[in-house]
Amino acid sequence: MPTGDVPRAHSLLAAIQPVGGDEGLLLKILPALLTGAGIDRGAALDAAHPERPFSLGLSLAPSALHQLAGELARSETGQEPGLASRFFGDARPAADPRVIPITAGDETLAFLVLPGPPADPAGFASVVAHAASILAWVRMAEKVREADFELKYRVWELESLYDVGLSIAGTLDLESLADEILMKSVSLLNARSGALIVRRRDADGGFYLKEFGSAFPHPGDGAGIPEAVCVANRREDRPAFLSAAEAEKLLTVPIRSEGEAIGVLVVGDKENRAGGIDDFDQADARILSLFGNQASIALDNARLHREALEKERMEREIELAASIQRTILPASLPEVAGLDICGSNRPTRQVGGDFYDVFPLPGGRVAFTLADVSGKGVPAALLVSTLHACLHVLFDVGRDDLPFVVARVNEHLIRFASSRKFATLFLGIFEPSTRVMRYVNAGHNPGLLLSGDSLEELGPTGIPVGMFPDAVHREEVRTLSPGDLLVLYSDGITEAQDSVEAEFGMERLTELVRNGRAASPAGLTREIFDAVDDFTRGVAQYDDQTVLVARIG
Amino acid sequence: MSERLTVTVERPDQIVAILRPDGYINASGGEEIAKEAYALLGGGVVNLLLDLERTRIVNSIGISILIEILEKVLDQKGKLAFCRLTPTIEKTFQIMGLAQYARLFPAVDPALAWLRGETE
Repeated sequence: MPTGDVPRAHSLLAAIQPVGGDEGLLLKILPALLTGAGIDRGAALDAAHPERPFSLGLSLAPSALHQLAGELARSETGQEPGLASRFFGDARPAADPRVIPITAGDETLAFLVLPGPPADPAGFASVVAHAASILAWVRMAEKVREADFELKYRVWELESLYDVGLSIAGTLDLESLADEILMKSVSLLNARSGALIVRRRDADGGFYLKEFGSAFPHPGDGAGIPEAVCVANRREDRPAFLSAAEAEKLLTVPIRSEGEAIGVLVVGDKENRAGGIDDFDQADARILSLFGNQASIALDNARLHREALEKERMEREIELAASIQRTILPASLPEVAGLDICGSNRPTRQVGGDFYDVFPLPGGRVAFTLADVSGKGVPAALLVSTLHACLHVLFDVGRDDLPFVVARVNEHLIRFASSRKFATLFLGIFEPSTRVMRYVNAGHNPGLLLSGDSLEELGPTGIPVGMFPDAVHREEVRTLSPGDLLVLYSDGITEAQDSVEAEFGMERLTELVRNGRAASPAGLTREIFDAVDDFTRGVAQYDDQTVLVARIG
Repeated sequence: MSERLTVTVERPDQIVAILRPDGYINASGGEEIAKEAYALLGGGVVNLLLDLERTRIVNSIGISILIEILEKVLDQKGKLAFCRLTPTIEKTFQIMGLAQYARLFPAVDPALAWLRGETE
């Protein structure tokens, strides 16, 4: 062996920059090791990847490599009899082949394959030790780099969850939130694709689908939404509705709202550095579950916000409807000679469509009405307004033919009110000089006429107005006596409900009327409302309550 | 919808090259960028700008490939800059350490000026 081989080998090793170590490092070290051995050809194998040898001037038998790699991996010394010779196969026989382990501490880092023994074993051992320290240093540096990368990745993971949390708190824009949650899920799980599939809570019950990377189907009727995390590394494990998803492997977590699974956050195909696809594992499931929970919170926030907006809108509408109704209901009733009259209305929170009014007519006569329009809120209030205006105009122009008046009101409502809107109406005219009352009852609750001990129910003389254009309403006539009592009311009185949904009913009302024959109209009105309140005991009512009481003087 | 990344390369002068990836910087996307970057480095162009205007998502494998590109650029005494990053990607680069050795810019021109040595 030339005397300068070992120093030259050390000099070669010293020239190696072990920064950024990779598989090529062995190729850099190999010339120095061969120089140290005083041999011109050989090969080096990474102990972790012996199937990928680095060779200089040596032809290894490829067919033997795979098997030998396994044996080397199990070998502590690489010196088992016959092992070295098999490396060379038949391609280039060697006289005394060697496989020399390169170790640092207890760890075998690599193997050096030589066709013969080193010329200077002691010097060569020194070169091998030097090479081992370089390899060990690089391996350690790689491990530190990997640990550093892993640590940074965990920080990235936490920061991503934190960012999503901030976004949820800062915006109600579901589109951008869904995009952020999906992108972060795909990104952090190294997935190739993903989707957020959520059943919408609106009337059509469809699905919101946001996808990335490849196409994802959504469950047609929502029946197949999994309730639990699903790690589907095999196609047969995936939820049925995702059977046609393009991705080979899937991981899904449920999206919940009010305790119910309403969708999934799904990612597909976790890629690795080599370009392949790894299985999803429980750690992946935990991360995706965190994002799934964030998505659930975001959706719930958005729903609550929508509900708050809807409630606010309804309250504005109720206030508007109440305002309309307040302008229509009479602030006070006109004084009418020969008639003591009192009316009162109690609107419910939902604001129904009751109204009453008294219209002085020429010749001392008086018209009176109590009506109840269908529906609630602003539409009902507008219909009341229409009905009210119709009656005023017709009476103002001198029309007092009640069937005619009701027919015109009927026509007007059919022409101008929206479909399925109608009103029940009790409309009467009283002439004090003759005490004659004419009336039409268009589908309204029977008026109660108490005359002496006799209580007569003044039932419908036609159908409600606003339903059919050719409806005919019959006029009825009664001649009244001094002291007679007429009580009109809306169904909010008789259908007032208590806590077990029992109704106040006609029987209680007629008893009140019989017992109230001596009371003033205002007093009887008060008694009726008090009796209803005693009956309902604070249970919220959903229909207006209106009473109009008249006593003949 | 495909997120397969494509890269276009622009050479505004002899000093720098601009790589414009379009798509997901994952394993395959990162390799596409690396292929173009290494070709430029092999040709002696060591100052590279990655314009990420059309990139909205990157994963850890993509980042590790970008780190490898950065190391090779630094080995050749070159400079690497990124520009027009989304806030999410910029934050990711800060966390993952890319911003320690590469510079991030909001626009192309200041990045080119830095790569040409016109600014600090």
